[in-house]
Amino acid sequence: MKMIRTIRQSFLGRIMSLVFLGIALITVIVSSVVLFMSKNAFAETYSRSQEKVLLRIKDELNDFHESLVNMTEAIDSSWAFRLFFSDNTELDNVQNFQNIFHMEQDLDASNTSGIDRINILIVGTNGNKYLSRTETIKASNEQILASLPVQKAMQNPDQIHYTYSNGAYTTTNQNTDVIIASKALYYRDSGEIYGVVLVTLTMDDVRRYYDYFVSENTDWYLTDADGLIMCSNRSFQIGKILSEEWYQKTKASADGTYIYQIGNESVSVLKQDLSYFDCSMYGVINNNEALKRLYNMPLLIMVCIVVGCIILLICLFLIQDTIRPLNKLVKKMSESRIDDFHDYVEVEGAVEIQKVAQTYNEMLDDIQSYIGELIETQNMQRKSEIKALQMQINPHYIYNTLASIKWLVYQNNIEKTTQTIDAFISLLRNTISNTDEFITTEQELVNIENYCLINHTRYGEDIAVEYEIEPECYDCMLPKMILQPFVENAFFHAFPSGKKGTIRILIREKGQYLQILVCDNGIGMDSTTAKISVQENKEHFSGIGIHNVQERIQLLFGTDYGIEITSRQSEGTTVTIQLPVMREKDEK
Amino acid sequence: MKNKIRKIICVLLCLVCAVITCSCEKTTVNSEHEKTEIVIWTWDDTFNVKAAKMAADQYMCTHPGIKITVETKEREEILSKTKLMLSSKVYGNLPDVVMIEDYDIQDVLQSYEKEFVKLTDLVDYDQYVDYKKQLCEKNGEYYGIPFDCGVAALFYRLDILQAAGYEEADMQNLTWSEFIEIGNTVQKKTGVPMLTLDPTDIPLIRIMMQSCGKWYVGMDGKTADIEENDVLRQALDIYTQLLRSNIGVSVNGWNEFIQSFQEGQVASVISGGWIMSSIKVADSQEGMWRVAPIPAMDDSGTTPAASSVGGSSWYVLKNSPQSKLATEFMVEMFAENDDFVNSLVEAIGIIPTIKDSSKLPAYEKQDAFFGGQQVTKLLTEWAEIIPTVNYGSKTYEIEAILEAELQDALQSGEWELCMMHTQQKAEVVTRE
Repeated sequence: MKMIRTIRQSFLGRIMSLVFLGIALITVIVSSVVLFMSKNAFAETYSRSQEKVLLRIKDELNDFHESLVNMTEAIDSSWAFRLFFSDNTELDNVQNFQNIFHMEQDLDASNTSGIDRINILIVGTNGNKYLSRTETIKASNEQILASLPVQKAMQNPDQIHYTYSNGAYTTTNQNTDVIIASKALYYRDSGEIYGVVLVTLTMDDVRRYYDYFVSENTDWYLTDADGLIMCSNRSFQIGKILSEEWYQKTKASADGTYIYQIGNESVSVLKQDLSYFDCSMYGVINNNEALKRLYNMPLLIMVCIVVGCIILLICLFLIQDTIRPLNKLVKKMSESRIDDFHDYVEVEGAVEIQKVAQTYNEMLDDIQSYIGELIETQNMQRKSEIKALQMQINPHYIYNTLASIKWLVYQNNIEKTTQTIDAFISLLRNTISNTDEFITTEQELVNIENYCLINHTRYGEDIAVEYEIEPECYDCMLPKMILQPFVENAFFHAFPSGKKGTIRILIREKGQYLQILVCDNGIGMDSTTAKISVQENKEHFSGIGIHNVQERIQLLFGTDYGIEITSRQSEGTTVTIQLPVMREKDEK
Repeated sequence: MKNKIRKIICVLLCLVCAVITCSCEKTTVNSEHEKTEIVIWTWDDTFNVKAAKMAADQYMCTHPGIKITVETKEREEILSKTKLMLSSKVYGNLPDVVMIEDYDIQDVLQSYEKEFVKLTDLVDYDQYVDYKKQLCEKNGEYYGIPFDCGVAALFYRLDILQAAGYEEADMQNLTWSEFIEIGNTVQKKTGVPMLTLDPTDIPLIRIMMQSCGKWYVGMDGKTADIEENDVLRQALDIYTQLLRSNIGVSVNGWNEFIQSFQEGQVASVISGGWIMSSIKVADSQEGMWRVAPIPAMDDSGTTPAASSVGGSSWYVLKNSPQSKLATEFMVEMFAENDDFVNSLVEAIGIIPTIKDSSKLPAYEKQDAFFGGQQVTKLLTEWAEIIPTVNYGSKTYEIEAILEAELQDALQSGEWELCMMHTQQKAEVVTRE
């Protein structure tokens, strides 16, 4: 869940879910709107096209009726049939043989109904029967004459009557649903009926007229005036009275198309009256079903899902490509806090992101320059501080030294007095008057010698100072007053209570370093005292303490350089100063 | 937020489910649609239809879940409807099994050989008599299951003939002139004609021709053989004599033909063995009927004469909805099931086309309707000596021509012209 949350909150996650929601929303809305709109349009156009088909069925049925009219007229006007059905003609066997043949010929010629092997039974009032097919008649004469189609024909001999019946007169249709077309044959003048033509149509015969109209969602009904279903593609309903709601609504209406909403179903009812048949035919379309078939919903959904997935994938790819530089930027930015500010970001990707990267790089530049300036200012400040300390000669030192010289004058030791005053003058000149930051080793040594001379004068010569200088080191440059604090320190702390000892100063080149060692063989110190050996002492020459020295060296030369103090209790202390090798000309 | 994600997942799951259920629905609809109903089209409700229904009842008992519907149709209707559906390749309403008459089958196989199920490997054709076996064959493959052989016989009403002074012995191995003589006597003494003649269907001509090994076409089945066909000329002569002398009464179509003997209006019927089932419908005539060989052509010399008329076979359609099941059903019932065929012999008097009659105990049965004659045995004996002819594929087409020409000749008496015209027209019809 936590991962999902981070995904959701991430840029990618948000955009992806937005795209997904968008696609889903558009798909659903557009599909439902299209379906809704097309549903109504479909019901109308489909009904209209089906109405045309229904009109064609009507035409064909009327054509069929016409062909039956022609056929009955041909039978009526055939001498062969007239002879066969007349009461008072006596034909011999051969004539009869020929007559029968002619009847068949006449009937064949007049059958234009298009139904092959149509079942035509002609019953004469003289008891003769003619059947067009190779089968037997199952009904007796009385049954035939009493049947409804014959009765109808007798009552109204001018018309062809169409009657539904379950079972007709011959073997092949004695138990099946049929429509029987009946027409009486009569003599025009007398009106005397001499026979009845009975054309039996099976449901299969009628099917070819409506077969192309019906489908799973479209039904076809042929009903008589009472609503009895004479024929339908729903065979189990044949012979029953039609009682559906749509029929009740439509039965009194004129020809046309009617759309009803019955329950949840949208039903289109197409009505056409068949006046020749005294029937009506109905096309009933279940629009919901038809629409379902028209729109393959699973396919529609599948297409939506597949297209949606493809779009999502493309989005994923594009967005990832777009925000990759952004991600890099984010990583760099979070790292740069730890590291220094030299790590620039590659400028790439979208224009906006390029701008951000550029600005970031510029910002890095700015920060860097500000930090440089800050360090510079701090260094300057430090230098001037040290400089100020350098210039500051402890006034007590001057008083005490002058007091010592006064003692020498009292002793009349002119030589030593002169010597000391010279040393003092030289020391003051080099420290106060000389404003150079760097001096040569030689000059520094002169200063140290002068300082030692003054110290010897003041405190006696118990502490000897020895110099071991490599000759090539004389012209090396050192920061001014770098040695003095350590020599001073050794004088005052290494040899307490008049102890004798030696301070040795070694200067040598070691590799790239100029190494200066100040060693004493005094009492030494433990590591704690070594660090806090700075004390306010009136005997100090200047304000510079040994703690300043390290700072100063590193300020000048960097962290590679500095001082190191090693000390052993009662064995002495060694101070090692590491400096870069610089000669007078280098500095320039 | 979590809820939202859950909702999205739910929606996706619902979509997937919807897709699956939709596809499932489709398949269930399909399976509902397919019923295991085998449809058989045949004609003659006392004979073929009855046989098919017996087979169906027996098969449905042992195979629940299969429904077999036997539809009674007219012979010509079956032929024309089947041909129409096959030519337009509309297979939805096609029956699975159709019965086709031997005269028609070669024509159908010629045009629609690929529409029928090949039974060469499923049925043992060696068990059938040769002429029947050949009828089902096309290009070395066998298609139909031979049903009844259609052996012709003279069925006569002994009571009427006795009234005219004839006995059973007088009716054996007649020639046509003897038959006409008897007919004349019967006509005079009882007023009853011997048989019926239908101007629209002349099986008698075919019976006479085949009894002499002749047909409308030569042995190649393709060359029209009318003008030079002496047997045909003779047959037409006999036919005219029967007609003119009122021995053969004109009837109008199949209905009157059946009606005439069922109602006792004629003294005899010359037709295929299958007519027995229609004869037996008239219960009141039990014991009055006898069977004898058909009359022989006067100078043919073969005694007794034997011929065939209107035999038929079952054919299974390859592209029908239940073709496979129908094949299993037909082979099991009509091709391998001797017990069932035996029961058919008993029930409807079928004359099977099997060589080895010993397999069927009902052969020996004495039929009380025919005065205790071993009808099946007799007919089978005659069936064995039926001369083989090649029907070709245009029997009914040529016959229609002949019927029309016969009408003209009856009026004009110009028989040579009749033969010539028929020959000319038949040549056109048989041209491939």
